[in-house]
Amino acid sequence: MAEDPLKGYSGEAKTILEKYEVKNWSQVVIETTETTLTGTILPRSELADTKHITLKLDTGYNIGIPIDTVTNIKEIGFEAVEYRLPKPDVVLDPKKPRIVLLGCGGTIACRLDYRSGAVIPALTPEELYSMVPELADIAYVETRLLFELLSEDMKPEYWVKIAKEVEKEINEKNAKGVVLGHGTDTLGFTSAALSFILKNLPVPVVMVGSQRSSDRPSSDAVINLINAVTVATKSDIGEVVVCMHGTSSDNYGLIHRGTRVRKMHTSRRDAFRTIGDIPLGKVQDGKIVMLRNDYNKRKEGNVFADTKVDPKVALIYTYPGIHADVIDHLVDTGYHGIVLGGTGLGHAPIYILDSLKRAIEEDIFVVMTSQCLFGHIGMNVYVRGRDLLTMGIIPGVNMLPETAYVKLVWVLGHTQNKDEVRERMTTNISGEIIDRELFNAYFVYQAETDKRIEKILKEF
Amino acid sequence: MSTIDYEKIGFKAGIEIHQELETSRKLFCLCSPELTTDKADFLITRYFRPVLGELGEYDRQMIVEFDKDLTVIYEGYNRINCSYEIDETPPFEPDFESIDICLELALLLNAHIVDELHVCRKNYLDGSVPCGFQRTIYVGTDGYVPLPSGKKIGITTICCEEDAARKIKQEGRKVFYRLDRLGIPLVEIVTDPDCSNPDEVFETALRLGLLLRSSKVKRGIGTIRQDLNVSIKGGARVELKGVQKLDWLTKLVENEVKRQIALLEITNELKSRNITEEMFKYDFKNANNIFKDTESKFVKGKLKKEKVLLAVKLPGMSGLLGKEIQPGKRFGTELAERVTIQTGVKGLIHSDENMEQYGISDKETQTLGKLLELEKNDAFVFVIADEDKGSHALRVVVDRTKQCLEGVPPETRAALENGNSMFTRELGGEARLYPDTDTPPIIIGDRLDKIKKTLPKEPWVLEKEMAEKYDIEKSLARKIILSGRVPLFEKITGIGVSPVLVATTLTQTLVALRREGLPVENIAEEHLISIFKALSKKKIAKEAIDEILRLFAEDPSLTLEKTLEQLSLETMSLEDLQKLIAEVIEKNYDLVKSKGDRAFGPIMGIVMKEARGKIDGKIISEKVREELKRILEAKVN
Repeated sequence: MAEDPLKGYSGEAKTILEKYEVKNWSQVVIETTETTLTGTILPRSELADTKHITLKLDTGYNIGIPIDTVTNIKEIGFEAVEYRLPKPDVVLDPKKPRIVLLGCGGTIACRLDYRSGAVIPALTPEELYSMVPELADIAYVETRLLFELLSEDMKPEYWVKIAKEVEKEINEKNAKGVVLGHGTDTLGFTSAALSFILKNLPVPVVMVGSQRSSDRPSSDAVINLINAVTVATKSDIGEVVVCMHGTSSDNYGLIHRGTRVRKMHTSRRDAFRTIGDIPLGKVQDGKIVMLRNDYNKRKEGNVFADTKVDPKVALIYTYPGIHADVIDHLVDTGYHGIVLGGTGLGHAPIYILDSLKRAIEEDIFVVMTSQCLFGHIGMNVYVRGRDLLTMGIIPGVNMLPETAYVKLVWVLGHTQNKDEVRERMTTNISGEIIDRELFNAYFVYQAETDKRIEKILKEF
Repeated sequence: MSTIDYEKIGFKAGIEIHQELETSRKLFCLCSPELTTDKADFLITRYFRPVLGELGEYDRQMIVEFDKDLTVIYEGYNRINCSYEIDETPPFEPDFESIDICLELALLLNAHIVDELHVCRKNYLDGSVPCGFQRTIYVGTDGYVPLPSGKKIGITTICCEEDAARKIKQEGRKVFYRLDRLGIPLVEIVTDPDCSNPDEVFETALRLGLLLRSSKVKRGIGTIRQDLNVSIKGGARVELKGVQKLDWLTKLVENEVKRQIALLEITNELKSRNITEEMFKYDFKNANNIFKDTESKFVKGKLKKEKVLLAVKLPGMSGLLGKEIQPGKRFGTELAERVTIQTGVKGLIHSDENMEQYGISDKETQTLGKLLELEKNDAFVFVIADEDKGSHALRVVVDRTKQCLEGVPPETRAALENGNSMFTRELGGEARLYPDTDTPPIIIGDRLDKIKKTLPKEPWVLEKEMAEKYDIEKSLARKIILSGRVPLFEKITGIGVSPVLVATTLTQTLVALRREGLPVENIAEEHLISIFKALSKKKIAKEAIDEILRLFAEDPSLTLEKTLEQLSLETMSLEDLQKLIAEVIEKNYDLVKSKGDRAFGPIMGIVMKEARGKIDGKIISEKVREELKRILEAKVN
C-alpha cells in the first residue's frame, strides 16, 4: 500500500490540505489572516491535535499554523524527503576478522517518527556503519537487520530467534565475533537469555545499545559500537557480554557478564552496571584490559543454541499491601513459574502466604530473589524465610530477579521435574550465581573515578 | 577608502541579538540560572559527530566542525547543574515565564505570533551544547522595529532558546566549556537585512537594546550578545559574532565591507588569470630535502621538532596572498588563522612573504618552486608539522583558496576589538535544524490574551510620554526605562515628590552606590517607598536619602525609623537651626569680621556638619545667609 500522502493529518487539518491539493513535503506559500508564510508541509504527529498544519519555514524552524486562520495555500514545489544516511564510504578489508553486526532495534538505531513525534528504531545496521566508518579499521564487519523493535516489545520467542541467527553466523558463516545492537530497556534480559541458550560459545557475543539516539551529535552509539566491535574482534572472551559506556564521559566502555548486568539509570550513558561483582573488563581506544580471569575463553568449535523455553513464567515484586489475588490469578491462568522479587533477604508478606502455598501445591515453581539487587538472599535468618522455605519456595541465591526470571523460562523449557528444576535454579550455569561476593563489588568499582568516590566518602 | 558609498556597493545588514532573560529557572530544567567562578566539581569529556538534518542532508557547518577534531571537556557544578545539562536526562517542561517574556517582546515588535510552538534542535558541533544542539522555540516572525526616521526594519525571527555553555579555554585540540550558563533562557531576535548603512545598523541595535532592557531581562556583562549579518552585492552573508559594544559597530561594518570588496577583487583577478577549480589540487610535496642544510634558523628549529616541511602550489595566487583584505591583515594571514583554528597547525609561510625574514635563501625558494612546478602567477604555501596534521592544514589552505573563485564564503567570524574579524566556523544553514523528539508541541492558547492585557508601551513611545508628563529630560526618562523601574517610578511620584529627584535616585544614586560595591540589590521597593513617604511629610531632607540607602543596602531588615535612629537623623526645627547658626557665628566671629560675605562658605560648612540631613540644605543656606547679613549689617551700624 502506498504511503498516505497526508500521513499524520486527520479531521479538519486533513480536509483543508486536501481542499488546496497539497500534501506532505509540498513546498507552499500559506496565506493566513495575519501573515504570509513559505515553507514545507511536514507530516504531523497522529498524537497532536487536528487543528494545526505543521510547517517547516525556509529558515528551518517548525511551527504549527492554526487552520482557522488559513485563507489560501499554494503549492510552489514538491520534494519528498528520505532520511537515510548515505551509503558507507569505506573499503572493507577481507583479511580482517569477520564480525557480524545484527540489528534488533532500540535507541542505537533510532530516528524521528512522524507518527508520534518521538523516536523509533528505523536505521538499518548498514546506516549505523555509515555513521561509524572507523569500524572498518577494526574488522570486516557485516551488518544485518533482524528486527526493528522497541526494546520493551522483546519476548522469549525473539530470544530464540536471535540465538538461532547467532548460531548460524558462527557455525555456518564462521563469524569471529558477533555484535548485537539492542534497545537498552530489556538488553539485560536478552543478554541473560542468550547466556543460557548459547552453549559452548567459541567467540564473544557482544550486546550493545545506546542511551542517546543516533540522530543526535552527542549520541553514545558511536563509541559504544567501536568498543563493542573491538571486544568482538580482539578479546579472548567466549561468552555473552554487554559493552556500554563506563562513565558519563566518552572515555572507556565496560564489559559486563550477560547474566550479572542491569540497567540502573533511566537515561545516563553509564546506566549499565555489573551488580554484586566487578565487570569482566574495560575497553578504550581499541585496547582491552581484562579485570578478571574467570570467564570462558575464545576457542575452536561450534556453538549450540539450546532454545527450549517455557514463557509461562511471571516476575512479581512483593510490596507492602500486595494482594493475594495477584498470585491467585497466576495460578488460575495456568502459569508454570513465578519469580518473586522479595524484600530484604527474600521475604514475602504474611497475607500472600496462603496463595503462595496453593501455587506450590499446584506444581508452580516459585523462586525467591531480592529486590535489593545486591547481596545474597538469606532465608534462614528470620522466621518468615524459614516458613517460605518449608513451604517449598526455591531460594534464588544471589541471582538478579530478571536473570532468575529468564533462567526459569529456560529451565522450564527443559524440565518440569521438581528436583531437577530446584537443582538447576540453585546451581550456577552461566555466571548468574556468584559464590564469593567481593568487598569492592558494591558499586564503588564502577563509579566515575575512585578518587571521586573517595572524596564523597570523606565529605560525609 | 574611508568613505564608502553604501548604496552603490549594495550594502545590506541585519542584527541578531541574544539576550538572557530574568527568570527563576533554566529553560528546560529546574536549575538556578546563575554563573559561578568556583572550581568545577566534576569534568565530563565528550566527542561529537555530524548528523542529518530533518530534510535528510548534512549541514556544512557540522562537517567543518567535525574536521576540527576537538575533544570537549565540560566543567560542571553540583550546586547549579543537574543531569539535564550534561545530556543525561531528557528535558523537563519548558519554563513558561520565559516563553511569556518572549511573546511579550514579539508583540512589541509587531510580529506574527506562532499559535502552536514546536521545539526545534539547532545542531552545533563546536561542543558549546553537550547534547550537540540548542533547543529553540520559534515564537514569532514577520515583525518590525521602527527607526526614529520612520523606516521599518523587518524582524525575521523571535525565538526563545537556551543559552550555550561558556567557553573557558582551549588547550591544543581540547576545548573547555563551563556548564553554568548552559540552559539560561534567552530571547533571540533576528532582523531582516534591511539596514542600508552603518548608521541604521546602529539605530536598530539601539532600539532593540532599549526594548530588551525595558523588559524582564538579565543585566550586566555577557547577558546580551549582538551579532551582525553583513553582505554586499556579489558578496555573501557573513555573521560577525560577539559585538560587545555599540561603538564598535561602525568600524566592524566598515572593515567587513572592505574585506568583502577585497575578496571580490581577488575573485576577479583569478578569473582574469584564467584560474579554474580543477587547477587546485591536494598535491602536497615533502620538501625536507631542499631544506636539509638550510641556514634558516626558523626552518631548522621547527624541523627538529616536527617531521616534515609540506608545501603546495596555489595556482594564480601570486601577489594575492599578500593582498590586504582588512587594515593590517593580508589574505595570507587569513589563511594562517583559518589553518590554526581548523587544525591547530601554526606557522604557515606563503610566497608573498619576504623570505629573508625567515632566513630562507633565494635558491631554496627557487628549488621549492621547481618541485611544485610553479608557473607565472602561481604561489606556494608551506607548513612544518607532523605528516597528518600538515596534510590536514594544506587541505584547509587549498579548500579555502579555491573558495576565492566563488567570491566571499558565507561564514561566522569573531568580532575583534580593532574592528577586524577572524574566522570561527561555517555559517549554519537550515539543514542543521531537527525537530526535538523529546518534547510535544506547545499550544499558546489564552496565554497570549493575558499578555496582551498587560502589554507595556514601546520604550521609545514611553520615554516621550514620560518626558512630557513628568517634565523631565527624555534622557532621564530613558534611564528609568532602562533600569526597569517605570512602575516604581510612577508609584513614588504619585506620593507627591519631585519626579526629577525620584528619577535620579532610582538611576544615578543607586548606580553610584553599586559602583562603590554596596549590595544595592538588597534595597527593596518598600524601602524606597518608605524613604520618599518620609520625604513628602518632611520627616527627612533629601540629603539624607543617600545615607539611608546605604544602611538599607547593608541591612535590609531595618525599618526607616531604625535607620533614622542610627543616623540620628531627627529633623531639626527652624528655631534650633537658627540657634545653631547664631552659636557658630559667635564662635567664629573673628572670621566673619575679617572675611565679611566670603565667610559664608566656611560657616555653612560648620553648620552642615551638624544639620545635614535633618533639614533641607536650601533652608540652611538661606538661614545662614540671612544671619550673616544681619550680623554684618549690625557691625556697620
